[in-house]
Amino acid sequence: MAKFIVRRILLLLLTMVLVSMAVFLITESSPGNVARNVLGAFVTPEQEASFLAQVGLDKPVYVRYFYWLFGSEWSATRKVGLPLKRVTTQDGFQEWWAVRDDGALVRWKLDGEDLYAIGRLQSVGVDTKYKNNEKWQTDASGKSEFWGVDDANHVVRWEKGTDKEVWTFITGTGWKKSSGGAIEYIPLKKGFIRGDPGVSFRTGRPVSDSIWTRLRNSLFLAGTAFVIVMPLALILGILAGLKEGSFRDRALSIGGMMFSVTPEFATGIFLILIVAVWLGWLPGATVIGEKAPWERLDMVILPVLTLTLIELGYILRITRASMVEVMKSPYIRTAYLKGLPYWRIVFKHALRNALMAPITVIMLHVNWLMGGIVIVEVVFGYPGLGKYLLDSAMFKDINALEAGAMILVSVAVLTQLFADIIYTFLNPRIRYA
Amino acid sequence: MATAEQATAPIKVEEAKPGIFRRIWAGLSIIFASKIAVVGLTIVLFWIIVAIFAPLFTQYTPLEQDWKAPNQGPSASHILGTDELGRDLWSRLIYGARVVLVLMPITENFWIPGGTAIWGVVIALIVGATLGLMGGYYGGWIDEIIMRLLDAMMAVPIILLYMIIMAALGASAVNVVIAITIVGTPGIARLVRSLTLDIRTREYIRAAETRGENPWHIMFFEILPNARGPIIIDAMLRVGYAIFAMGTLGFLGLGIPPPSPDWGSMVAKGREFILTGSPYAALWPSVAIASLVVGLNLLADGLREESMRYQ
Repeated sequence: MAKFIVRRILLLLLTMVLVSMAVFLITESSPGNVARNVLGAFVTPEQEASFLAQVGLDKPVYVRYFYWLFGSEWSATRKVGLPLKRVTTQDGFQEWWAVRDDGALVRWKLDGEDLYAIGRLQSVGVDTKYKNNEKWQTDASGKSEFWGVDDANHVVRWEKGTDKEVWTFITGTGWKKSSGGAIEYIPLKKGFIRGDPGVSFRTGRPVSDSIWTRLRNSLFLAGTAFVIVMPLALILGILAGLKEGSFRDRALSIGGMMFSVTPEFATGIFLILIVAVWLGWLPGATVIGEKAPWERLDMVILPVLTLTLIELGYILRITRASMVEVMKSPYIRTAYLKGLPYWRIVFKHALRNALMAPITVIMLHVNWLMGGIVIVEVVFGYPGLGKYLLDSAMFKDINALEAGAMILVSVAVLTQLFADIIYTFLNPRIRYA
Repeated sequence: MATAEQATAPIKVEEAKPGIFRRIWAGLSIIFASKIAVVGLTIVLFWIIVAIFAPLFTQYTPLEQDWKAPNQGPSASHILGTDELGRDLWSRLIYGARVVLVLMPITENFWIPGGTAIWGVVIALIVGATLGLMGGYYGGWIDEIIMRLLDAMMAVPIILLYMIIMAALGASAVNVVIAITIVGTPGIARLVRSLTLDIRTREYIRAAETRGENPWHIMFFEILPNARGPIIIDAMLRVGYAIFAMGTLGFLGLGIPPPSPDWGSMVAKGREFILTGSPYAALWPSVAIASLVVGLNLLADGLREESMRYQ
């Protein structure tokens, strides 16, 4: 068993690596440009090039993949020659600084020909600015250059005398043109495997800031639906399967089929029209902003109901089919012939075997359920992971897309692993060596 | 002598192979034996007929805009109402059914017969059946590689696949077909493989092998025709899934690009106007897609039940 689990976890890691590479390559090769998405269609080529350099998109794809996965501060540290450190300011922003030998934090700034260092003593909390021209390193051809940390979380290469113009795009304000630009930028991040997939181009904030809230919202939605669906679907499925071909069976299974094959968005629209527009009982959209979904439960009811209806039909039909099969089996007939009471046959003999199939199938169905959650989130404007992922994919926001994709893949593979483990407990005939 | 031959020939043919009409009739009688299959068939036929003869059922084209009458409810001039640009919803609905079931737009002016959903299923069937036949018939390392590949594909959430595929390829009918194919292939391949594993051991396959037939001939002309029953029912369900997938892609803005009448994108656009008091633009395409998918599933369910009863 342990060996089996280890093998499955290795398979999960392999899948994640392959998917993350595929996402990188596909996004790379696809038409469209994230710079145009962020900056609008009227950006000049110089501005675009400046932006792409600052966010590190001018680097080759394997370098970006490496930085995304393992972080960029390792190669950056080698270039600067000082250890780098990420600090969180009182306002909640993340800043990268170099650590000087005496323990003070330091960044640099280029002003004309002069290099300035901004030092910050952590104990005092006061910044001091001083000329730092002795840092220039002159090579054989007489060019002076310097690798340092700038004030926007990059490690940059400045070249003396170039004084490149740089355009910085500030969301909400527009373009700011300034001098003191660098030749080369490396955006600093810790890397996905250390929990920092980088900054989202779409929101301008670190992906790790928003993705956990989004995941929590989605899990709340899925979890609530799951808690409602499971008992209901199992009970209804058993009721339908007890007597195959009866009116109750046909009504339940055809009704369940109708709900489960109707696309989620259509069910959602019907529910909005009936409950929100026609009856006016509940709001037709989930507008919760930064708030947690359980603070506005009235807005969560319709999304949960949509998910419930779709899953209900599916699980009901699986349970029914399994129950029908069990009720036809010889050992149930034997139990009848022995003269056991009906309820005892159902509960003690049939149920255990009948529930085996649905429980594992439900786990495998999680893959499909995730698609449903994305649609439901879009229909109701629910701020969950699915909507985040869709917006990121449309925007080509690679950092956010990759992080979200990794979460989805690991959820899918882990539930499959979980299903296999449960299955071995339910069915002693199976043993994974 | 000649007269005797003439007299016996037709009888022989009839005995050897029932006529095409008789075979269709036999298929139809299975459908008519089941009430839910008849209901399903009626719904599906309704959509197929309005899709084929769309220009006869409406006086408007799906792109005709009436700026004086946007977002209207049903009336005598517009049976189902109009959308936010004043386009007739009924015409958009039936031309949308065309795109799903009857014609597929390759470019703006070039359409090929066979709906987008149908093509998606057909190509998925071709790819999936080939992989499944190869895996099941050859076995060994070929089977191992194919199955591991399909496992990996199944481990990736479908919605993520859709998003990545469509984000990479852009929105167009051909890319919708590619998305449906990629998502549908693993399931079909698994089904065909399991059927192949069973049929491979039959005697007529042994006979073909002894005759020295080409493996591809055995796969496609000996095994595949004998596995057709479950594949046909599965394909019918898959057309339902494909329509479901088309709607979902359209709804997410990943489907056939506007102004082409696509049910999913009609719902997505109409959704914005629900809470401002004009629900029809979102309601009708939702009803259309739900009815068509439910119809197909009723048909497939009824067929499966009846064919199981015959066995």
